[in-house]
Amino acid sequence: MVLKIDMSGETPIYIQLRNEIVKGIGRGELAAGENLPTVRQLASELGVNTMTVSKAYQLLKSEEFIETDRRKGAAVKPAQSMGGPAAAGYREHLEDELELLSAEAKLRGLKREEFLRLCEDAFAEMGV
Amino acid sequence: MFMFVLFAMIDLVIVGIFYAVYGTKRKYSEGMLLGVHLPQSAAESEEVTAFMERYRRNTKIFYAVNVVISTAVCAFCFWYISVFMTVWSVWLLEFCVGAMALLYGNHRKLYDMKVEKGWIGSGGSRIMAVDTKAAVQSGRMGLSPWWHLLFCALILMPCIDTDIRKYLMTSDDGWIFPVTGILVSLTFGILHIAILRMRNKVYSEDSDLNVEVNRMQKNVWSWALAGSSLFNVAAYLVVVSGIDETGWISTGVLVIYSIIETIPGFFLIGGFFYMRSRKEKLLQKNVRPLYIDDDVYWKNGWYSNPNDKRLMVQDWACSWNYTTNMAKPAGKIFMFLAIVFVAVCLVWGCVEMWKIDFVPIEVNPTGTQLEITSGYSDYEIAYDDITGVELLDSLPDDDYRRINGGADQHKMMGRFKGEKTGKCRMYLYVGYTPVLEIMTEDGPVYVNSRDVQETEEWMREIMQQVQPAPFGKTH
Repeated sequence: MVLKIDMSGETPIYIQLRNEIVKGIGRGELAAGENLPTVRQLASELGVNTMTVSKAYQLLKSEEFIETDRRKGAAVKPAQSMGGPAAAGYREHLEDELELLSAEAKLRGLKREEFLRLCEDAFAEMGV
Repeated sequence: MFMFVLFAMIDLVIVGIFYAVYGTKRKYSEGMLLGVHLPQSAAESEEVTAFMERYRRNTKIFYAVNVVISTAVCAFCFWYISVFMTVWSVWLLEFCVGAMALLYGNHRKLYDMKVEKGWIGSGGSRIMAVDTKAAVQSGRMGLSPWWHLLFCALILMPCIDTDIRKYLMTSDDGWIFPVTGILVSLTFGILHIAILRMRNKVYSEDSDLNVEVNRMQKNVWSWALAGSSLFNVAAYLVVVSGIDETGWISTGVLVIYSIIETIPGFFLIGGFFYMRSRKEKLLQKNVRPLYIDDDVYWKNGWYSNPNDKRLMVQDWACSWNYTTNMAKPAGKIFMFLAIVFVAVCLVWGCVEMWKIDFVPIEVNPTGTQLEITSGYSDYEIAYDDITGVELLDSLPDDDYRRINGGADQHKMMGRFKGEKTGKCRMYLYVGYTPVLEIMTEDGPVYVNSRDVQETEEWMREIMQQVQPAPFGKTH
């Protein structure tokens, strides 16, 4: 999977990294069990501090998207293992985010159908 | 004549390599033309085609003119070497600066044209991209650099032999070959490590293709460097096996050594061209190209990106080269020091050669010792260490090999080793006689002056300072 990071963007790099990896897992570009680069390797490839990558990996681990092993490094968790404690509060979080997105879409002049179609297209990209 | 031919060949190789690396970047490839990301339609537009045609013509003129100038400069070889080296250094400077200015200047013009016309974003323009699959497999690409340690061990292996160990420990210049061999192998090893740690490049949305291209490049480089290191060892082993009982290395062995030592050059240049053609072939399969448009950081020809924490990055003009990130103070300091270092080396080298050519040889007997001064080095001999003095009609007939200093058609200066004479020192104007031979426990010292009477005067002055019994023979 190719991670694309906007180094001069406003979103912190570790958040961009987290988002790119989650999108990759969702789209199936990163398969369950697939290894991710080590913190040092990814930091060196991106030209960023190892702490930035470490922070992104810790976030992904706390959200149960990846698992880390001292010897094997970081790997994508199997889908069935992603329904742990982090998933419990997800619906509430999603409703919150959708409310915000809907409000922004309305204020920017998007029609309901257009908004729903965009949601559908984005979901279709995940192969479901 | 040998020097003329040698330097003419060297100049041709320098100009040829520069042309191949910097003068042929005229094809649209990997979404770029002359290092500037452009959509293919823009690269094929009338304006850009005309611009590239002008650039092609100017490049050909520049390189052709420099071939002629460099050959003409070599004619100075027939005069003083110091004059030749000074003129040659000035030419080299002009050539390097000119080649870079030609490339960077046109790169900047094309970049300005792109910005003016709004040709931005030839394909998913992002600042940084990393292929996770290529990054994960990075550690498994290429040959292990540990091989170079084995090669260094092979260089040390002949030391097991008592005679060789004795030669290396007792000979003044015996250490040169093993130390050079080890340093060369270690340099190849360091380059090997640097290449394996090189950031993987993203060419495509297809991870398998990215892995294939990056693996191929690291494999080719690591094999080329390991092969180069191996031949460096082979060259050293040839020399060691050719040392005779007296510690003499024949000219034939040295010729074989030189030939084997040039093979790494062919490995590296061959590897570069093989890698380039393989990469082109592999990228023809690229149906989902991904171009990272970071032109804004390269617009002046050098890299300047404050968001990138790396100090050294791969150069856009030549994937062999690394350049510094000029947005970082350390990058600016490194570049400044590198330029100063090269300038000082060139100036220092030329000054030393001028001294060798134009500072006269002098012999000054003082109260306790004899001082020989020259443009290369000074040498003091205590009168007690002098075991004999003689005026010779000519330098003893022998096969002399220079260890340091300089030797050309005008003079022989520095430390030498003769097959029969052994180690000796020379402060001689070639073609002038007589030659004053001063025997010491460290071997003979040969000195002369362009003026016959001055040489004879030196002889008389030395004779006055030392005991007359074993001395005083003149021819």
